[in-house]
Amino acid sequence: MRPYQVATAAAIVLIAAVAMFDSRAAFSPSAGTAPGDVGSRWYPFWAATIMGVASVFVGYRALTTPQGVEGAFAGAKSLFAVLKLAVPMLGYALLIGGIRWRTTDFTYTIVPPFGFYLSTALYMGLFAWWLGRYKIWWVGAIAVAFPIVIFAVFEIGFRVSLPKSFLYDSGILPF
Amino acid sequence: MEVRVMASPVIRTAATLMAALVTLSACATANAPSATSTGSATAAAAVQPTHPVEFVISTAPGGGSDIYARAMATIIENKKFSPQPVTPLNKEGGSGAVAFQYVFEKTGDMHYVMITLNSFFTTIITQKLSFKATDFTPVANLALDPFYLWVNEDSPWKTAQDFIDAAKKDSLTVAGTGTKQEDEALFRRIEDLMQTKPFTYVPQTSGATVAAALAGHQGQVVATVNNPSEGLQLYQSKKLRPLCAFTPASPTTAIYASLPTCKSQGIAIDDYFIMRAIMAPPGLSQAQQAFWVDVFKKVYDSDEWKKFMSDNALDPAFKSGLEFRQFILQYQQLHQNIATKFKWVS
Amino acid sequence: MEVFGDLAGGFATALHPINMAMLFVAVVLGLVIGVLPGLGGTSGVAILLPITVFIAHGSLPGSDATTAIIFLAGIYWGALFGGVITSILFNIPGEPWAVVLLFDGFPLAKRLGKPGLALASSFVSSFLGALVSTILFTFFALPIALKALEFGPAELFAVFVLSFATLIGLGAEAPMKSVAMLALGLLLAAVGFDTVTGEQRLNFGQISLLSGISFVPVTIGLFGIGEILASAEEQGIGFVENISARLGLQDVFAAVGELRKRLRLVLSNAVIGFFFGVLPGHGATAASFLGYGLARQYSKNKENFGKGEISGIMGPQAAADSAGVASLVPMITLGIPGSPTSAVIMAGLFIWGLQPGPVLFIQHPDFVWGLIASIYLGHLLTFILCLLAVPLLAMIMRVPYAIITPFIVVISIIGSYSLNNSMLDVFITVIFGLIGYWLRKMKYPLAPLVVALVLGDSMERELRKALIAGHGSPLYFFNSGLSTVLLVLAIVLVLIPLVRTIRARRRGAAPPAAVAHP
Repeated sequence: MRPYQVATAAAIVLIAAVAMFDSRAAFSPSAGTAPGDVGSRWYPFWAATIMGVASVFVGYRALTTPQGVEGAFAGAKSLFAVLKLAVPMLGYALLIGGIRWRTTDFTYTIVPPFGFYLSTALYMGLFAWWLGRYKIWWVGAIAVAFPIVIFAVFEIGFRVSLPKSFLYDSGILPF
Repeated sequence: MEVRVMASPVIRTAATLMAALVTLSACATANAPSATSTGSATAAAAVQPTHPVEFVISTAPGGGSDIYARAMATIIENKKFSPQPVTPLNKEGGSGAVAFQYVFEKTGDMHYVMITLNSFFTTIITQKLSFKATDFTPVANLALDPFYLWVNEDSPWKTAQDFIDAAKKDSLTVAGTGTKQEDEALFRRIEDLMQTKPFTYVPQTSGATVAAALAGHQGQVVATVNNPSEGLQLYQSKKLRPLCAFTPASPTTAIYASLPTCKSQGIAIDDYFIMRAIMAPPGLSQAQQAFWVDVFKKVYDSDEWKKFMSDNALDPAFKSGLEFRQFILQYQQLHQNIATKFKWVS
Repeated sequence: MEVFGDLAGGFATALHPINMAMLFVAVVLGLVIGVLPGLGGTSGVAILLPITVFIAHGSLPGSDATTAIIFLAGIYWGALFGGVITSILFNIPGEPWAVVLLFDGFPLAKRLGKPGLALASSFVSSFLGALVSTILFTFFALPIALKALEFGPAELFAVFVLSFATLIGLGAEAPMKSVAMLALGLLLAAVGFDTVTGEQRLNFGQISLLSGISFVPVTIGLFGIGEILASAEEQGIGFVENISARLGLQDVFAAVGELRKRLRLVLSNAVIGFFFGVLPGHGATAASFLGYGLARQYSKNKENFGKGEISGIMGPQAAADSAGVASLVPMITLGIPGSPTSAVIMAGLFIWGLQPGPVLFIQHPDFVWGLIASIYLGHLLTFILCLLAVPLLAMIMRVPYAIITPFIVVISIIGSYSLNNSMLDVFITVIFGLIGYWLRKMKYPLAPLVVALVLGDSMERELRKALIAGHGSPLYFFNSGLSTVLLVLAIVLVLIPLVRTIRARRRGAAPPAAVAHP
């Protein structure tokens, strides 16, 4: 556990350092615009400082006290179990909004936005097929039924707009 | 609404000129594509939303412009003024910056409209956003929300002059909604015009909490510039009272009828209101703009909106087209001047 | 007493068939809205506002403005109850005030396999909390609302410090890790737009970050997503295995029994929740955390908190529901909305052509008393519906893994997106899901992070408003008797556990809380 504990503490110290740097104006004489005010940077600066100092202690303790010998994961199998969930989830979130690369004068679309409903169909279907090992018509039914119910409840019932796909603006699909 | 005298003839002339220019250039860009299309009359008839419209609100649910937007959306929906639903959508954050950025990025898409108030100018100026208020397609202004000068019921001041005299002696603690926004702008204008000691300005999160702070003597707050609707309930329950109205003439609403104007009491400010205006993304065609002007004109003419305006002591003021552009330019200049003078932009 | 006559009249109005019918419809809708991710009481009430115009103008036979307010309020009561369901079953908060139920509600449902008991406990304490609050509302609405007006920045700051103080020691196993997480919460709360100076901070030039990092997407990630990642690792497959075999109304009786053991806690939290709810702009969420902190302070076995302790469900629930009811008090009596939801309900009043505030009591007594009576009836109705649904809801946890796991991710994403209609919040949820999973693995307590994130922003604002009003003098905080008392109380609360620990150390025996983690 030791290297993981130390690395985690170090990462938090790094975040604290970035936040402290961003808030360095806490000490500028014109910190607050209103008399008496401590300014907008004072609070984040000290929060970051406390966080950094506490994490240094945590890291030091991890280095100096006996730690469990096991790794962060109980073997490759459990690491794989986590990745099986985490990777499709990331893909799902990216698929909803699409992937774009923006330069100053042009936007490159790498993956067009699939919107919430198409992505959900793919995502739910993938799990039913891959982890559930259901028959193909069950997979199809799950992939279709969930988005339709969600569409009916949110878009029609409560008029809550969820992200739409690239086919929506051109009028091909209603979602 | 009657024509009022603008702050200075220079601004007025500049505003008129710029408005004319902006209108001309907008016409030019809008005409370019339609020249190649078929008959413009048939094209104009077909211009309407084809899927649900987002009515973007720059404040949280329950905030000032949220209530106005929901009242408008309710009228549009119940009277079927739009062929597609117009759904209110809150995009709060950064005093409107998040909503403005969101709508700005929807260039040329008529499925977005946005309700704006004076933060449309102040936030764009102070947050150094990458666009200007004039980049958006103006639709219409539906009402002007006046400011009153409020004190606690037990305050020793009976007139605005008493307040000014006190403000010249000590730095008074006042409250308003947000920082570097309309309420502070008005207090800074008073400070500047009347040569008072600088006010200690305590920012609050909403108009309702501003009124509550004054009613409860929270943090020594002695005055606010709440809108009439925000102070109404506490006025009726004898917790607050208005000293004067920053309007050209005394209010006509029954409950505020005898309230003098601030101008008559020596604070010569009568040209500052909160606008309740509708904006659309940049680059809408003239026909698209005309569709929304028409929808909101119908809202404005409805009995429900008239009742709503009088209940909330709003000044009816429908402005669209050139008149509205002029108004936008005038207000942009006004806020720019305040921002420069009080170093809101570093 | 005159009040009883008015209340009887109110019940006569509320029991009118059309009013009862709309109350029923509203309560069911509210429950659905509360359960649905991302749709809260506020947005639910706002979405249904246009319909109420028809109701108020008599489109239904016999309906009027009273029917309309009963309808809107009913949605709110339903959502207050319904918001806890996803917290307990999926570790995803359906409503901000249900965040605190992640600490003990979900562990009781999943780890101890008692979802029925967890749900029933939350419902019975909600009901009792709301009842206490409604009674206070009926008799003392106006004087309390007037007192609440006097809560300035110094007093509010003291209230927040007090809330924090009750929560000191959350995650006491690793004090330094708790401190780091607490500070991280404060730091995240500071991201975005500083309302006091109007400056941007910690947003690295991103306009979309100006709305700040909201605690809802963060908690959905840390707890909802983090949990399914952790359980995937622990068990490979199978969301809940050791769920109690018997699912039925027995859980309800068990919950009532547990409630009787904690009657003093629930009643006192309900009273505190009421005062919190009346303070304009604060309300149910802050009250729920204070309620949790107090439940923990009172408790003899603090180490059970965070592992499925029933007091950790009932304490905050009573406070939150009570505060939810109380947030209508300043709106009805003074015309000042105490919470976003009551602000939207107030917008409804305007649109129907009514003026909230004291005039309402004089001009439309039937309206006000009809509303008050409907609070009693609405909560009773919600309560019965919820209890009947407990066995059904608990069944959800038996849905096969290959469906329930992606479904939890889907509702997490809906929940975080529709809060602000922002894809950024979706990524915040996913990223904090991974972070939460990792932090849990490294034995960092997550509760201090969430508490600081929820309360940090308001606390900073009140602190700085007080500094401005006091021209920078810290003595300003002791200007009023009220804030002095609250601050002294907070300091005492912080010192007690500290003194206890030191004493225990002197005696040579390490206190149980300080046992180092392996």
